[in-house]
Amino acid sequence: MVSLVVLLIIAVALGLTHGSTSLEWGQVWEPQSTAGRIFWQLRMPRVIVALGAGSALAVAGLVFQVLFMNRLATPFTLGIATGASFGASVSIWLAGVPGLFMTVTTPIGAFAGAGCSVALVWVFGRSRAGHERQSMLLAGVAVSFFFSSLILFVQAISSYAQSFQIIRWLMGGIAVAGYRETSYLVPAAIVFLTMVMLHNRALDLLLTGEELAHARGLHVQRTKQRLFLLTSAMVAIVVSVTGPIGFVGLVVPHMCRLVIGVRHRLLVPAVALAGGVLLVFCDLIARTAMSPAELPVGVFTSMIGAPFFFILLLRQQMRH
Amino acid sequence: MEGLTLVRGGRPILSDVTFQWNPGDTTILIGPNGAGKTSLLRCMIGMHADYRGRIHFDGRDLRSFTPRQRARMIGYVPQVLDTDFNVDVKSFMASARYAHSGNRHSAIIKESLALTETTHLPDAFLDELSGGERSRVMIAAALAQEPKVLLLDEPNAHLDPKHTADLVRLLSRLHGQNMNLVVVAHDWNPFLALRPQVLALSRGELFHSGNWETTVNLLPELYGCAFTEWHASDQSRSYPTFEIDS
Repeated sequence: MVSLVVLLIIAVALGLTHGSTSLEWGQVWEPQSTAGRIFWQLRMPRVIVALGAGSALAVAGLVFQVLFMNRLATPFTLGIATGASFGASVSIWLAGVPGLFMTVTTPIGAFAGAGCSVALVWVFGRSRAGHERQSMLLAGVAVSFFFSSLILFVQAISSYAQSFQIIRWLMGGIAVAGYRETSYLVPAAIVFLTMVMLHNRALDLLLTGEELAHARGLHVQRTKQRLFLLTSAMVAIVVSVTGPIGFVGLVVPHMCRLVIGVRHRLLVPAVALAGGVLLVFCDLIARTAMSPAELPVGVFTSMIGAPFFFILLLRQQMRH
Repeated sequence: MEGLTLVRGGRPILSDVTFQWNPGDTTILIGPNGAGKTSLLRCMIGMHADYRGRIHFDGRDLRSFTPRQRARMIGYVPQVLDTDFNVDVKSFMASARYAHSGNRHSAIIKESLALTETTHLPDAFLDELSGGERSRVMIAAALAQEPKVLLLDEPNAHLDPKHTADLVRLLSRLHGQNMNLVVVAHDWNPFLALRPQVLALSRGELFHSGNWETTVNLLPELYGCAFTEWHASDQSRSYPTFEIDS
């Protein structure tokens, strides 16, 4: 845990000091200078958003893995990301010419799309068929495929420039983040992390299976619904700002579980810290790897996440 | 338990089951596969809350208790642990104390582990344990809830003869402490030493209730196969008998 905090400080420091342009450090404290503006208006909100989004996505993945008792669950398993992507695609398509206007409409579209997919899965979950957690996951996959096809449809009917914008959005990125995004993402993330932390014993119980969770005195249905809605709302907010950044929500909980164990009192803070660190680092690489060009951060999280996940699976195979 | 009825997918899983427990009773719950034994236990732990009829506990409707109040009265040992994650024994035991507040947690947990001879396992992961060790840890966890009623779903299914004997001795001790035991069993013979009441279910309906002597002759009808009864050192044993065409 201590090492995570140290890593966090290093990541934030590097994230603030490195970027596609090197700064004149003497000027940083003068807000009107170029260096000052880059530092305060671009880098600072960007690092904060990466931190908040990374923590939130990682903890969201953790919660979904417990909620659906499935190690492969991610924040996006239930189709929230595809729903958001569809909403974003439609808004890009409707906005016509890409321009400043889009930085407002795309997040709204993405949030609306995410809301649609959550609502669909929720309605399914409330129906009789939704009592089996596997069928809820399948519903998520179905919703996901449905929106994927709609995204392709929107792409097919939009112009070349819009199509490029859509693809770029689908890769996920923190480039657009400014203080407007920070102002709602950060409070939302803090509320979310606090709420999950308050449910740490409930998560411990859910981990032992539904039967035992009931027998040990947990209000299972109510707890699950609350966590589901809370987490979905958080993911929808994150996705509307950053686009679908994959693998943070899958890999980080697993990493932390290997080191820390399954007690959520320690696991939740660890996952939040590690998720934030990972995304700040990935965003740093994305900004500097091919400087001055910027790469979408989603490319790196998956590039690092996928091989790691593969190793994890191999290790598990070997244990059995 | 009065007129307990549970419907799933338009099909009754339990219909109109009425049964009376007396304080300190040990009950074995028997019946063919799909008779509703596990469902009956799940009603009692609040997992199925949409049953019709009533379960009274100390003269109070079970549904009027909060989940934590209920967990302080009824402990449950499931047949298998339904998890996809590597839970270690220590965490598993700790979360069993959810329904209790106070600072006696570690003492109670230690005591429960000692009762089931699993004290040496705190750092092991549940899926690394042998079937018998895992069963014993699950019993220890249920005891850590300090319940008045202990429900066990086929607790001897994974146990070797020695640990089955230990289990029966443990249950007998709990029985002596006036704990109500409800044991679902397909292999009921080990538990007959506890002189249990019998609750026999068939297709969700109450087939028979009474002591073992009144039940033993009904076994062929209940299960649809032949049984042979043996007496060894004053204890009755019933085994299914069958022939194989050769």
